[in-house]
Amino acid sequence: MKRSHLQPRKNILCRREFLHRCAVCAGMLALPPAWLKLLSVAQQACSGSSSQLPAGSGLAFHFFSGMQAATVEAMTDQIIPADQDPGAKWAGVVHYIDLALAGDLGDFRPTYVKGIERVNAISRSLRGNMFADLKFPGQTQVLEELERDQTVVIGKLTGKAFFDLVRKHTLEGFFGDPKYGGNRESIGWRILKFEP
Amino acid sequence: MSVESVDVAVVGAGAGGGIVANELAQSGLRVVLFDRGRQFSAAADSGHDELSDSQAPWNRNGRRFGPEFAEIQTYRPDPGSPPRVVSSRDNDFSIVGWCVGGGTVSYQGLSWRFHPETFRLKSLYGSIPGSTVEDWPISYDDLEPYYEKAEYELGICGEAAATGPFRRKPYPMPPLEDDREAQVLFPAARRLGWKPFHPPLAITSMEYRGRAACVRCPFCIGYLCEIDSKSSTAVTVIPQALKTGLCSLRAQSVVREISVDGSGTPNGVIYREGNGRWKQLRAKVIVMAASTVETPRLFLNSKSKWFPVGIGNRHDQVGRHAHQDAGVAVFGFFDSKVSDGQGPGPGCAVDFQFQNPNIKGGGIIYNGFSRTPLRVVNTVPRPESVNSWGRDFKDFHRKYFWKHIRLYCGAHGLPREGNRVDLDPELRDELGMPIASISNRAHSWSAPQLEWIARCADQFLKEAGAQFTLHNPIALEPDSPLGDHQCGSCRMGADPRSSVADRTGRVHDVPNVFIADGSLMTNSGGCNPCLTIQALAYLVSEHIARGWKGGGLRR
Repeated sequence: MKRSHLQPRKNILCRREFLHRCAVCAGMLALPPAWLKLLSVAQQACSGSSSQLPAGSGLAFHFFSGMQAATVEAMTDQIIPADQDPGAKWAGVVHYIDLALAGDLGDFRPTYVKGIERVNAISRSLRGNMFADLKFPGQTQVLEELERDQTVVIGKLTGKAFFDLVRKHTLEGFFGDPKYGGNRESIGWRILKFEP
Repeated sequence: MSVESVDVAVVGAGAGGGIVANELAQSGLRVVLFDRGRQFSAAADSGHDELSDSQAPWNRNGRRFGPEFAEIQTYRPDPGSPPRVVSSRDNDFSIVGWCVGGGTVSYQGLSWRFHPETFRLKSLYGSIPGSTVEDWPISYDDLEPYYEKAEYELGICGEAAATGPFRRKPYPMPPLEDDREAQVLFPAARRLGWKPFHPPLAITSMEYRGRAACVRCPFCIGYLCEIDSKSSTAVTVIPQALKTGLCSLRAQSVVREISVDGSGTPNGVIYREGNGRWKQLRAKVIVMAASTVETPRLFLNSKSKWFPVGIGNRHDQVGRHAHQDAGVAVFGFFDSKVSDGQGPGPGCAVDFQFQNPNIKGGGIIYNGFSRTPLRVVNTVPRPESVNSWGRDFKDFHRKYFWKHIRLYCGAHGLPREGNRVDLDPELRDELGMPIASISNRAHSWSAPQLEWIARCADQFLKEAGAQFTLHNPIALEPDSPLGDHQCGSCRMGADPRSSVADRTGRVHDVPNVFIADGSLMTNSGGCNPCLTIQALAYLVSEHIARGWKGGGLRR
């Protein structure tokens, strides 16, 4: 039962992800036949082979506002930063989270809205600026504070619990299957030399 | 409307229930096999996607092999302490796997025989304070033929270990060939003077009864095998049962209670299929195989004027003595690659049960688990100097993904006074059934065993070349709900005042109700329990078939 609606939804996610990338990158939406061909290419790409998308590609968001996306993207890049290998920002982890919130993980939307507000509140009080506008060490300091934060953000969820949630989702988006919109070009697997 | 009537109703199509259904259908009895979970298949439900295809908690859609919805339980460490509500969406829900095949669909397949001493801990060690341990009403020798039958019928690969219990026949399949981890571990164990061996696995090491040999993929524990090489009951005995034409499988069918006729004899079950209406299935014999939590839940929910406190519960024993074995994982970190990426994982074991005169019980060590990215970053411990996020975190996992070995250390657990699976007095699930209320705490008897085994594992890894080792703290009295190895909640025993079932698995004083799951085990062993559940299921099946032929059960 669960499977029967889960199975097509995977494809919808892939297709939707493809379409919004396509709309930005190639402007192909007006050409239905080319569309269909590309859809099957996208589905193949979703099932494993590497895609050719530019880094920091300015893809559209389905749930996050620009400010929210910038906050979450900077958080993910703190959790898995770039070093000699790309980090969570390059891997598109924020898009993984955005697509998840627009789909299967919709229950977490209010948590993210309130959690992001909390991160920026800490950021302003500690560093006088929005989180995404801080330099890397300033962001690290804010997240260290968030990790200890016992302030209730929503329901029974504290700032610390919000950090733990973003960390969990970042690991999923960086090391999980690329078909969910993160782990671009299987970067999370390639840095581990893992082949599924 | 006429009520459907069969010979046997089996409740739960897992490790034990699938076997009972097949054995009785093969004997010519008409059987209905219920499971509240779905039936999965390799074609539709296997995959290498950690986020969707795994039973592990990092599956973002919940557990792959059930429950499909947020089932709840209440839990407290001691009967008096305040309860908390745990959901099947949480990591610490007491669960084995709610689907056709039960836990055998997604388990690792470790298929040990218990040692003979395990069946008579009380005789061996005397009464143990704080424990309700009793000897089993059967011995290892009584169960040995059924272990053998389970190994052959299901398909277990392995080798007869020098430290293992007596066996009449070899395993039906040889062990899998050594992967790099095994090549690192075997010589190290021998240098330490130990007797390492290949652990028994419910996995085909060669083509076996129409199923292909394992292709050594790493997506094993937590996953449904993509080629049906894992010997789950869903791909072995259950299809055989269905082939007889005498067994009907009702998946996604919840059984609420055992029904009782006008003279106080159980005469079937009340169930519903999918979202249908509650109805009765009449059955002359009822076999409960729904797990250590769900079997007592159902007995306790079967109240009537003949059974005012539930079926089998005359002496207030149903649900008591629930416990599990104890375990801790020790990780070794190496300078060079120690893995070639092959599954299934476990390839080298050392058995320390009843070997050390200074340690009561003891346990077992074996390596492995699926080496997949999300499992590794979520379960491999890091040194204290490495944060749980940031540059060091990334660097640590990149460096050690292929350079670590995980040793699992199992030890004996004991039934503890106060442990119980009961019904919550208030909370009900979405179908209106009282939810399971679980009191559980590990008995401190396990702690010295675990500490000793973990020290052995540490020594083992260092001998194999590990630069450093890490393990999670050994909790002296682990404070958690029942895990995958839950057992003992409707135990077999000689005395009806301290047990629920007799030596044949039949509920004391109830002529036609039997048990065939982990709840029947009198105590845990120092290792994974599945093959013992399965051997017991063969034993119980034989008694039912014999009783049927003799006419005693037919009425």
